Amino acid sequence: MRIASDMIYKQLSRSLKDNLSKLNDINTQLSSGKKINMPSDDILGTLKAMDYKLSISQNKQYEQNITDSTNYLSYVDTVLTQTSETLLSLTKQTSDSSGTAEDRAYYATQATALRDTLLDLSNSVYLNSYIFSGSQSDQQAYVYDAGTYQYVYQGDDQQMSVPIGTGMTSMTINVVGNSDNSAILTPFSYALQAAATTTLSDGSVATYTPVLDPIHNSTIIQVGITNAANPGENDTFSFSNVMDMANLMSHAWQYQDVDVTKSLTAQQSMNRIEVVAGALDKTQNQLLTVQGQVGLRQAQLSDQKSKLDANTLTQQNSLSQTEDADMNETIIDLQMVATTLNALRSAAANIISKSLFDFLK
Amino acid sequence: MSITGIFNIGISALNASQTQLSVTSNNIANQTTPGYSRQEVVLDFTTPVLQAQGFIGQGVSIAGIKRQYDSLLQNQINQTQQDYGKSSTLSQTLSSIEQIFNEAQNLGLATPLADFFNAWQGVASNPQGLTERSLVLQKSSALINSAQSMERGIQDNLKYNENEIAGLTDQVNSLSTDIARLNDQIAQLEAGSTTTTANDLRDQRDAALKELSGLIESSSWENKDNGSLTVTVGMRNLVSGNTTNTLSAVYDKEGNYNLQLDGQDVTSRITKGEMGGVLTARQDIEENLHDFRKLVASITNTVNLQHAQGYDLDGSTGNNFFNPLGLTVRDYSSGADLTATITNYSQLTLDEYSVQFNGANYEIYNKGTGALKTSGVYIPAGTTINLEGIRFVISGAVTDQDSFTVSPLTTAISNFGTAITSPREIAASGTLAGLPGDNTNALAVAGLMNSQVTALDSSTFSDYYQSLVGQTGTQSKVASDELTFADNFLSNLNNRRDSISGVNLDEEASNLIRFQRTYQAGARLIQAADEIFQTLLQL
Repeated sequence: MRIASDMIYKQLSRSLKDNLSKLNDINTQLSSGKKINMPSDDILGTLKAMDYKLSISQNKQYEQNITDSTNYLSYVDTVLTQTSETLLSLTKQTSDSSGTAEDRAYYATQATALRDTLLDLSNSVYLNSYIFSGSQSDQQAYVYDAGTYQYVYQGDDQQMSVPIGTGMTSMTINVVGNSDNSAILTPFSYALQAAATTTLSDGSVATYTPVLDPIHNSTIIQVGITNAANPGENDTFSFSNVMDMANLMSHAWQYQDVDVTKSLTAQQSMNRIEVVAGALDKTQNQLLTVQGQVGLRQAQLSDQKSKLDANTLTQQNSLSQTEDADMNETIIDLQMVATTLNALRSAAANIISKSLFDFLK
Repeated sequence: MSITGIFNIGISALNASQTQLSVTSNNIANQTTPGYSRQEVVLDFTTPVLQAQGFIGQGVSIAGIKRQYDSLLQNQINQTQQDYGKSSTLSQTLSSIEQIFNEAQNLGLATPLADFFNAWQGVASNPQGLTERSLVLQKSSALINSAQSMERGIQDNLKYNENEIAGLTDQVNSLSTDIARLNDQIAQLEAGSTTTTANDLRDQRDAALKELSGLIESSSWENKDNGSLTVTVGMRNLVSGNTTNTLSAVYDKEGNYNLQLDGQDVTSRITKGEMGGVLTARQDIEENLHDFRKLVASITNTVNLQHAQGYDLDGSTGNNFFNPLGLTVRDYSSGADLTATITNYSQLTLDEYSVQFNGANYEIYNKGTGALKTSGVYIPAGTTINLEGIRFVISGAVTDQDSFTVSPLTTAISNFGTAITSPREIAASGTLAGLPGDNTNALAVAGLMNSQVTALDSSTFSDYYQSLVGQTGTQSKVASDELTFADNFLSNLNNRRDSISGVNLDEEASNLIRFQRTYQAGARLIQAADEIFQTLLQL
């Protein structure tokens, strides 16, 4: 092939251009630490990397949700433990049914105090929300209605679930104060599905009936005590939660009804305390179950968090393998290109300056 | 055989060497001139004269000056130059579009999109929390800013691309004028001769044609009678003899440049050269912009529809989270009028529509697919059509040429913004009014991130966006691969051309000495003849 002088120059400048552009690519990889710097460097890799990044970002959010929920649940757990202890103190009173007037006055005061503690606990606030009010979290869970002498639940039984995994796997987090749904266990009341009867220690029969309280539109437990031998000792009263129970007790120790206007006989009072003691037991059991549920949720969350952590780590590894440059390889490439470039330059210095004219005298 | 014969032969030798020396020096001088073809003197012996002793030569004559040139190769170069011009422009433009969607460097929409929906999960974990609610507003404005600055970037590129068309048109016209002028000169210089060619002018014209080929898809042929070149673009004459037609860039109805030559629209016939690259880039970018707007429009609409089902902290419901989509109507009619309103956002398919008229009927087409959506009798007093959540009201006199386009996408990004301003207005609650602790609607909105959207061909937002990133990346990759190929091919062709037409200094140097020696020998010949004459005269 005939070679024109210009061809040599053009070939040279082309080779220099190619090598410099390779050098630039390697330099970009070294400075960013990534082998993909534009989607067109590796389209499939870019799209995969986007998938990994999306999963990582979503996992982080799930982990954040889990952390928030765990904190919330440990607070609920603390409140429930305190509630349980308070109920225990209340139940202790009931074992002593033959106390003196002083004892009873003391018990009455203590029951009142415990009732108020329970009310405080049921109205616990976490991050500006009443935790036991369901979705009515801007309202106190329980308030005292002075008109009916009852503690009234203001919340609902809305279950709040929080996403904790891909595909929107979610988990119920909150605990509600009261619910008519027997599937939802509540810490401050127990659900009575159908009428029941028990025989009290004095032989009277206590009948428990769930009735709808038309004023507050909620189900309460109506108790009727019938003493066949002595109808004068018959009694009816109602309650729906632990505050009501404590309130009934505190008044019963003083031989009074909750509205104070009606006084009770000693037997009526003791019967009431016996009924309430039973109810407290049931509530205590239910509370422990709820506490167990909370513990279970915490364990599940912690499990899920470990899974997410492991998953994130895998994704990060894959991401790194997809988009990160292999430094050793890149530096070897750099040296190869640099060597080629040097050789090219020194060859060029020899070639371009020479022609026959240089040798003619 | 006379002594003067020797003189004449000597003079012919001097003439020939002198011409060879000037051609050689011209070669040396033009060694780096682009498009220059090496020239060579073609020598011939003169007709010998019959003497008594036999035929005796009469010296050397110059048959012509030939340029070393391969016209087939030159044609191939011109063709490849067209491919090169296209792919270099295309690769440059599409690579800057790719940079806008450069998820490899975390530029683009993926991060703000994921953050936005993650923030809704934050609200779901604490629906009453104002901090979590404010975060949703912050993340949504980050999403909006990203989308808008990306759209601006795309539009800037479109605008720059559009200006290129005007600039290229000027360059094409200036080159076509050059070619016409050279045609004229070549025809004049070569007139009446079958052997003499205007070598340097032809080199100039070849160079101009090569440059033109880089700019625009064109074809050319030489007129055998007068050597002038005819150049056509889009099957219309650009240059014919010494006359030219002006290529002009004219705005069409949509505000894009169309190319006209000799009274005809040639835009669609130009697929190569820089102009072809610019026109292809325009198509690609518009497609990307359309898809990107569709993504944002579907985010807006889907989030709005879900948000409107929820209740905010003050019990208000039915509210949009983002500004609702609006319709843009383009009127390509003389006297008719069309108003379009969105009547049902949940029925929107996010397609663009083209309204056309056919005799007494109206026809509404899906602008993207070209499918006929509905048609009916047109009543000039006022026709109301309800289609896919949009109410079209058309009135006025129409002709078959009249048309309208209706698009929910045009302003989807420029109007992208939050409709609510306060964190309290975020509708996280899903059941009854005023339930601050309810998170069902926030959960539903957060879940939209992973839901398949019908308007996006049943893919999720992030999948659709990924395919958009893949699309811009592939476009850029294909263009740069084509560029590499065209560049290598062109360089190979140029090498072959240089191998034939290029100047080699060594060769010229040896020629220089050779022709110098011939000249000296010729001079010696004359001297010898002179001495013979002297001898003769002194007898």
